[in-house]
Amino acid sequence: MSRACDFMLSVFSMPVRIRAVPNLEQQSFRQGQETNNTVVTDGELIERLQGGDTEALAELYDRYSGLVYGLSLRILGDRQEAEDLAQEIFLELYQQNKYNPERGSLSSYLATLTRSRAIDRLRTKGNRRQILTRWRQDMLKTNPTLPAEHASLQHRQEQVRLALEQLSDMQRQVLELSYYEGLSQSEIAERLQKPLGSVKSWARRGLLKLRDQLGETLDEG
Amino acid sequence: MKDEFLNSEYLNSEYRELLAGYVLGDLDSEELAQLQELLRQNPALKMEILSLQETLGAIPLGAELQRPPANLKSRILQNAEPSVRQENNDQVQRGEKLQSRLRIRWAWGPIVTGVAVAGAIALGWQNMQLRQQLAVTEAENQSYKIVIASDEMPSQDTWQSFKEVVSDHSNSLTRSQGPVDFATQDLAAVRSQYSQRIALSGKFPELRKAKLLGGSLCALSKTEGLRLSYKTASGEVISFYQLHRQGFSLDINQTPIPIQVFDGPNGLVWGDQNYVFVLVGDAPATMIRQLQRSLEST
Repeated sequence: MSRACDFMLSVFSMPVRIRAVPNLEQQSFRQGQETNNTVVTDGELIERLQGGDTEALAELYDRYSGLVYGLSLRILGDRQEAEDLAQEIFLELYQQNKYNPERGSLSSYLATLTRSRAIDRLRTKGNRRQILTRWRQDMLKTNPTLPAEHASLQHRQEQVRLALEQLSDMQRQVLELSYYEGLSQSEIAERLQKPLGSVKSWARRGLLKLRDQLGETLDEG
Repeated sequence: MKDEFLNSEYLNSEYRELLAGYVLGDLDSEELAQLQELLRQNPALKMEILSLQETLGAIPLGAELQRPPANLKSRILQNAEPSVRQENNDQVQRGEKLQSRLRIRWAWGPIVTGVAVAGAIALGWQNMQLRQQLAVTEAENQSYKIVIASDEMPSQDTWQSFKEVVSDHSNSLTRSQGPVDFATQDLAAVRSQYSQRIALSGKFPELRKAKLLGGSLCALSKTEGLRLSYKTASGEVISFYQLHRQGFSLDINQTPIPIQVFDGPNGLVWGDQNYVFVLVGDAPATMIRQLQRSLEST
């Protein structure tokens, strides 16, 4: 079993049922977490969704609506559109449920799906700059933020924040421009007036460092 | 090489950057080929890619979560009720099926791409493109695995435009108001509706073997044009685009070039001096080709 595999399952596991547990150490970590918290796992909720259980959908909404809606709002810059997209994402999860726990956590899956849909919407509209300007103005005003209701999600948020702080300013800036604005690396190079090679390097090394940081945080925990 | 990989605790930094570049969607064609070879020799690296995908997906956790409006939850739960669910399903099933297939291919990328190339060849495109190199790259954010058979590497702008066309087509299938902004079976009516707002090709070709549903303006990030939506006898919605050339730097000429989205729609792209035309639909490549031929003879 590769080190990467161990890492992935341990760092990012919400209590998701993993079908192929790589080793006993991981297994005991997971079981302990679930037993102590007596938490219904994401995996169990996903299974219940398949049977049409709307209570499971309500629970998943409580866990992840802050993430899905927050990411939608940040990319789209428009509350109504962010609501529409959040609705689309949760209904799709309920109706089609393409999530596969073997490929990663539910939060990462939802974030990837949300980001992809949001950026597609932006591009279809073709008025990204205008929207982002509006978003920035909008976000500077009062904006209720949401503490994660799920202790495990809250813990991971903290891990990710700390890990992002460890990146250099350029690494973080390039990753965020790419992630939240959907800019290509050429567009980022143009925006920042920096060589394309440097932008690529910042992005790649930034992502690797982020992954390594998250790994270290877990090891310490 | 394999042993070297499996025995090393950390991957060599060059290879690690290659994997990160893949996940970020910034590999050039040479790097992509290198990565595919690397994965062929070391399938275990797929886990490394998954772990980097997971890391990328964790980035928004570093931002503040936002509280959605209070009524959003009840709206979602209401729409998830079985009766509403069935109604919605009937309406959007095709489009959502397509969208999910397009967008959830966020892992196993190089493998998927390889399969797509094999699929492209199996579909018989080699007759037309036998001597041409299969240029393979990927959409910027890993949402799509698009294969296009061409003898030159398309520019980023061209890839971007293709990706947006595919996205526009799939979005058109899921809109609550239906696939068209202006519904009509009369092509001349579409022309008069939009000719004041956008320059249209003089040829304005029409598909013969499908029923016109209507037209919509289509704004992509690098270009704009018109989307005509058609329905085939077997029920597939086919989008026919005529777009201004500026979004495409690839040398697109009158010879149609096939496009395939893995496990998604098939398409053909061709062009004249001022316009690029794209036919795209969730239909077999042979049907798309037949439709394009019916259009040529118009």
